Amino acid sequence: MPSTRRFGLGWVKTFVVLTAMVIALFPVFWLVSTAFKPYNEWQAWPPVWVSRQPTLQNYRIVFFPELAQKFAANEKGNLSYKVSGSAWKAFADSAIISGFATFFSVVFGTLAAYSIVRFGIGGTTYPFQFLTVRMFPPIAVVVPMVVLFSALRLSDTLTGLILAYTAFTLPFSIWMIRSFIEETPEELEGVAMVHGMGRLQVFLTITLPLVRGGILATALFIFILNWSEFLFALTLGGSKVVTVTVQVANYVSASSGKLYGVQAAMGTISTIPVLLLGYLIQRHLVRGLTFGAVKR
Amino acid sequence: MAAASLLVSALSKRFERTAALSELSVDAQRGEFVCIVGPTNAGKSTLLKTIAGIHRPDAGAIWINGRDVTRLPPKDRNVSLLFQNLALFPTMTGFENIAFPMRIARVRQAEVEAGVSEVARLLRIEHVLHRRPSTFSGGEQQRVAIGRAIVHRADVLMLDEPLTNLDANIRIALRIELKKLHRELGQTVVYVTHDQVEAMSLSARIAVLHEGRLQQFGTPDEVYNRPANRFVAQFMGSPPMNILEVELSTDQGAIQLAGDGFRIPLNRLPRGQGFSRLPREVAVGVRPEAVRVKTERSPETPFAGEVFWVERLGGKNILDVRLGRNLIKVVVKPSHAASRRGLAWFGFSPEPHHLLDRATGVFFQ
Repeated sequence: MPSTRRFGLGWVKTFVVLTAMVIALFPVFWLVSTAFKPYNEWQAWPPVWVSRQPTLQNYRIVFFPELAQKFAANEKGNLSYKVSGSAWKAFADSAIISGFATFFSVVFGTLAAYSIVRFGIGGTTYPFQFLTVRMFPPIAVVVPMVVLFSALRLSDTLTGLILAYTAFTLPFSIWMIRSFIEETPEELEGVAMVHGMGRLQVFLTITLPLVRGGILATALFIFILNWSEFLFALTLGGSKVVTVTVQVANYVSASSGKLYGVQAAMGTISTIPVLLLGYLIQRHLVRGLTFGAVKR
Repeated sequence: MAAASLLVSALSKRFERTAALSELSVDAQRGEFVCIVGPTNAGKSTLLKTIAGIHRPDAGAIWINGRDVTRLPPKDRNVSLLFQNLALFPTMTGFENIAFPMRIARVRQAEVEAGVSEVARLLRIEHVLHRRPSTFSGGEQQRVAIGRAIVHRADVLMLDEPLTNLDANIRIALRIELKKLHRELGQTVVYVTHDQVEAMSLSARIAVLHEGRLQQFGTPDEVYNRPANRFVAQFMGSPPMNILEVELSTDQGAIQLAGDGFRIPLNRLPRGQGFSRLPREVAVGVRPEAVRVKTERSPETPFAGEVFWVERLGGKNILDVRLGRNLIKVVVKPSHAASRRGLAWFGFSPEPHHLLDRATGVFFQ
C-alpha cells in the first residue's frame, strides 16, 4: 500500500530533518543563550540552558567597557577583567576589509571566469591551477606571508589584509562564477553581437544581468569567508588592525581565563551583518538563473 | 564575384583536435536561397557562426557584398543569424525581442513600431508581442526568433535549422511561409538543415557538407540526379540510393555490368571515360524509385529477388529486397502486387553517370 509507505517514509524524513536541525542549530542557541548569562552561569554544572538571571552586561563590556565597570560594582558574581581593543573599531575594520576584499574578489573573479569560459584563456587545466592555491592549508603559507608583508610594509594595514583576502578567495569566486557563466547560452551573446553590439557592451548588458543572482550568491559566500577569517587576521594584523574574529579572542582575563559570555555577545552581534546581507539579496538568490526561452 | 552577395573561400576551422571546417568554399548570389545540408557534426552551424564572425577562422576568407569581412567583428558584417536554439532574451517581451536589432541601431520609436508590426503580421505573431518568451509555444518561439532575424535588413540572412523540433504540420506551414517571405524580401539567405527534403523544396542551390568538407554544391536537381559521391547519393533522397558492387566488362563492344544476382547492359560509358581507363571493380547507384518490380518474370524484370520486409508509409511502400547478396530498397505504389514477403522480379537500367569508383566512392562523370 503506497500511501502507508509514503506516510512511514515521511515520518522518518521528518525525524531525520529535525535531528539535523537540532544538531545544526544547537551551537547557535548556545551562543545566543550564553551571551545573556552572568559570569557564574557561563561554565556552571549542570549546564544552565536559559539564564535564570539574564543580563546585558556582556554586551556592555563589548560596546561600552567604561559603563560596564560601573554596573559591575552592583552585580553579583562580579569578575575582574581588563578589556583590550575596541569592538567598534573591530567591526569597522572587519567591514572595510571584508567589504573591499569581497568586492575585488568578485569583480576580478567575474572577469577571469568570463574570459576562461568564453575565450578558453589559459587552456583547459587553467581553472584547476587556481584551485591548487586552496589545496594546501593556509597555515603553510602564513609564515612566508608575514615575512613578505613586513618587507612590503603591508603588515598590520587594511590594504594588506584586503590584498590577502582577495587573493585567497579569488579561486572560489572564479570557480563559482564560472559555473554560472557556463549556464548562460553563448547564443544570446551571439545574437547581440550579430545585431550590432560590441563584446564589452554584450558582457555588460546581456551576460551580467543574467548571472547577477549567481554573482550575488558568490559575493555572500565570499563575504562570509572573509568575515569569519581568523588566521591571517591574527598574523598579518592584530595590533593596529583588529578584525571581529581577533577581537573575540581578545576577551580574556588574567584571573578567570576566557570571558565566554562576552565572546558569545560579540559572536552573536557579528552574525547580524551576514544575516542582513543574506536577507537583502535573498530575492536574487531565489530567482537564480532562468533561461526559459532557450531550446535545450 | 561582383554579383556574389556572400563568398566563402577555403575556410578552415579547428576546435581542439577536431577539424570542424576544412577548406570549405561556398557562395550565394544576391537574393539567392542557398541550403547547407549535412548530418549532425557536419560543420553546418560552425560555418554559419564563422560567417557571422562569432568564430574566428584558422584560414580562408569571407566576402560579403564585395567586402572582405574575415577580420571584422560580428557587428560590422551586416549579417543576421537565427541560432539553432533561438536564443530569445528571456526578460524581454516578444515585441522587444523582435525590436532588438533596431534598438541597437537606435532606430526611432515610430519606425521600430512599424517594423515590428510588419514582421509580426508576416509571421502572424501579433498576439505574442506583449508576452515573454517563456509563455510562447514552440512555433511562436520559432516565429519570434525568425522575426528578429529578418527585421534586421542584413546583407545575408542566415537561418540555422529554423524548423527543427517543430510539429510536422507547423513545419510545413512555416516552410511555405519562409519561401514566400524570401520572395517578398529578396534577401540573400543561407539556410542550414539536416532535412534533405527541406533543402530540396526551399533552395536554389544546395551545399552538402560531411565532416567539415564540401561534398557537392549544386542545384537540387544536380545534387539529386548527379550526385558527386557515395555520401551525397545516400544522404539526398529517402530511402537513400542503392549502391551495388558490379564488375565492368565488354562483350563485343557492348558494356556489361555484372553483380551478384544480376547482369545488365550499360548503354554507354560515363562522359569522357574510356573503357580501358576505368577500373574493372566499380559500383553502380540505383534510386529506389528507379527499380522496376513485377510479380512475374518479364524482359523488363529479369532478376529474381526476395522481398523480406515491407514498410507501408501510406503514400508509398518501401520494399527491403535481397537480390543475390545485395540488400536493396525499392519504392513502389501502395497498391503494388509485390508488396508482400516472398519472391518477386526486378529490373533496372542504370544511368552512365551513376557509375562510381568502388575505392574512392566518387562517381565517374
